[in-house]
Amino acid sequence: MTLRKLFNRLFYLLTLLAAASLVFLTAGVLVTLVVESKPGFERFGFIKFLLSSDWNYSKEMFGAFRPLTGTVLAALGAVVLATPVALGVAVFLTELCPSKLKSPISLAIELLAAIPSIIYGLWGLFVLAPFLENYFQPLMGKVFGGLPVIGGYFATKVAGGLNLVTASMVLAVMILPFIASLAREGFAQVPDVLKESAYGLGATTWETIAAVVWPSSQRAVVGGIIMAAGRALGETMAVAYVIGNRHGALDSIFSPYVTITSVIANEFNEAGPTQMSALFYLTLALFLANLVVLSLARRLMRK
Amino acid sequence: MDKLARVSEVSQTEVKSEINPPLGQGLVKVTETIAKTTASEPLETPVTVEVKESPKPEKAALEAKPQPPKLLTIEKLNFYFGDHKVLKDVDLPILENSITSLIGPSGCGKTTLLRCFNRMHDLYPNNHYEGKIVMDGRNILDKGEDLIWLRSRLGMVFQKPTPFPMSVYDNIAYGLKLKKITNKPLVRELVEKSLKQANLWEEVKDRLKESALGLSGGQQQRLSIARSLAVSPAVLLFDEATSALDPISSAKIEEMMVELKKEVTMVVVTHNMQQAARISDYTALMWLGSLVEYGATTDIFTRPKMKMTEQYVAGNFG
Ligand SMILES: Nc1ncnc2c1ncn2[C@@H]1O[C@H](COP(=O)(O)OP(=O)(O)O)[C@@H](O)[C@H]1O
Ligand SMILES: [Mg+2]
Repeated sequence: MTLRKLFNRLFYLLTLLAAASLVFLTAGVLVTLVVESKPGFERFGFIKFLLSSDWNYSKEMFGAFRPLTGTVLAALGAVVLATPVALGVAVFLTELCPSKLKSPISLAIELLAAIPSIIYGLWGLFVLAPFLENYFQPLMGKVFGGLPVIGGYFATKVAGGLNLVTASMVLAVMILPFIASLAREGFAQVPDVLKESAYGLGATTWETIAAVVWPSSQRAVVGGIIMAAGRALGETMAVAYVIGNRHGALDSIFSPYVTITSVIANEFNEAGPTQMSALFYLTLALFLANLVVLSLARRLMRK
Repeated sequence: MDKLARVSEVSQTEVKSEINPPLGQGLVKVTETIAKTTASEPLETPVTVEVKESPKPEKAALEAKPQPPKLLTIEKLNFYFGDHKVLKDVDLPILENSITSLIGPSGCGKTTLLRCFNRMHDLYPNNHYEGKIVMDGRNILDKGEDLIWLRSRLGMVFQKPTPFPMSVYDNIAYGLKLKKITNKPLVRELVEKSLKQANLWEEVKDRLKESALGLSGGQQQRLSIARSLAVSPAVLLFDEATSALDPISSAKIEEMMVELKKEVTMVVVTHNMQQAARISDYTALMWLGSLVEYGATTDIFTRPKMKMTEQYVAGNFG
């Protein structure tokens, strides 16, 4: 074998090793989670664990229902709030923005994405939460409070402004730049000549987006939104600051609640062995939820 | 470069002209000997263009024919991409119900000129126009011009087919929907009519509900044309619309264009000299952003006034 061929062989092995190390890392994490969750699994089972809303330290009874629903609802709320704004930003940037404004806006988006999540948490705690409590919550209570059946879900039952809505809003701000840049990439991949054909028939910008831009990019954009949802599911520090951390029934959208990550962040330090195992078990559930979400996103984006 | 390749391809099929053309030839026949052109070749290179004209009655008839009215008149048009001036004082009429071809070497501004007609440049920042394009007594380059309306009057067909990601039927009906034409039987009738005009109906009538993305390249291009035709534009602008197609698809489109003259006025950018000679009534040669010569196609190809035109149509530069 010549030196060149030998080197080539070596190069191949090195890259293979790099790729394999990633797989081993992920597998290692999964193994740790499974091993550590085992006591919890033996004690609470699977379905029972998922459906139980217990979180009782003295009786050592733990269930995933509240943290799991909290995680899903906070992430869902964030996606619902962030998506329209992010798509608006992406459309503006690709279709309408005067070239002078393009780079300042793109820069703003990138900066927003680069802010550490603890800063978002502090902002939520000190700025957003008081604002929402003083202005937004009373307003929502007034507008929707009178509705039959669901009216109560808009009432403020616990003071402080730390609750599911606040968490969703903070998460929304955090994933907005992510969705906006993925959507922009998707829109930018639509060939100019296709857009020009629509404009050339007398279509407006909106009509062009609806007829050619969206259909040609929707898979990428929806995939991006789902990936953003995955991020929101796993986001920890910001949510731990603003969700309120109360293991109680969710009787209003303005009630403090828990998410998987907030429970872990808050209780990891002082957990007893059973609780610790329950926390690992929760993490495993989050890991699996993320696996589902990410593979969905990949499938959509692959075409 | 692909243009050069195309020209030399042409040269293989073209028979070198004889001094004496066979008698009884119809229209003025243009025969060219196309030498492989190199960029370094000076303009003065002797050109082997033998232009044969026979003083046939057809020619007289052609000259006697009254000129159709002007649909569009370009007056002193300048166009800038930012600071880069790409069109220089272009004056050009576009006559109704005829085909005008724009020819000239790559980068001379043909596409740029074509895209002035439907103000496509307005989609991108920092471009500006000077001068006029007059249509119905109005300068369509005015700031206040309604571009949505203008673009529905001047359809455009690009080099690459641009089927929308929807069914064949919906592609054609799309422009009608924009014009708020929603009466189903009428839409169906117009869809059929446009597809027939574009010589596509027979091939797609059984697959109207299928995605347009499944059609062949040539079919997709005729679909793009049909889609433009559906909104009954006054003008169709073709930017090298056949250059990416095989000869048969290309011939189908040429045939259709000639047929369409009754209804629309066409401006055709082409690199294919024979295509320009075959289908167009008027030809304009551009060079470096300026108009070199404009005239009846037969004149441009057989008795050009400018030396440059003579050389260009012979394939000797660009
Ligand atoms: N978007 C653009 N921005 C700047 N310059 C351009 C742009 N498009 C074309 N040009 C320049 O304008 C000139 C004419 O181009 P074009 O109209 O495309 O030529 P043609 O169609 O005759 O080949 C070329 O020099 C080209 O580089
Ligand atoms: Mg061009």
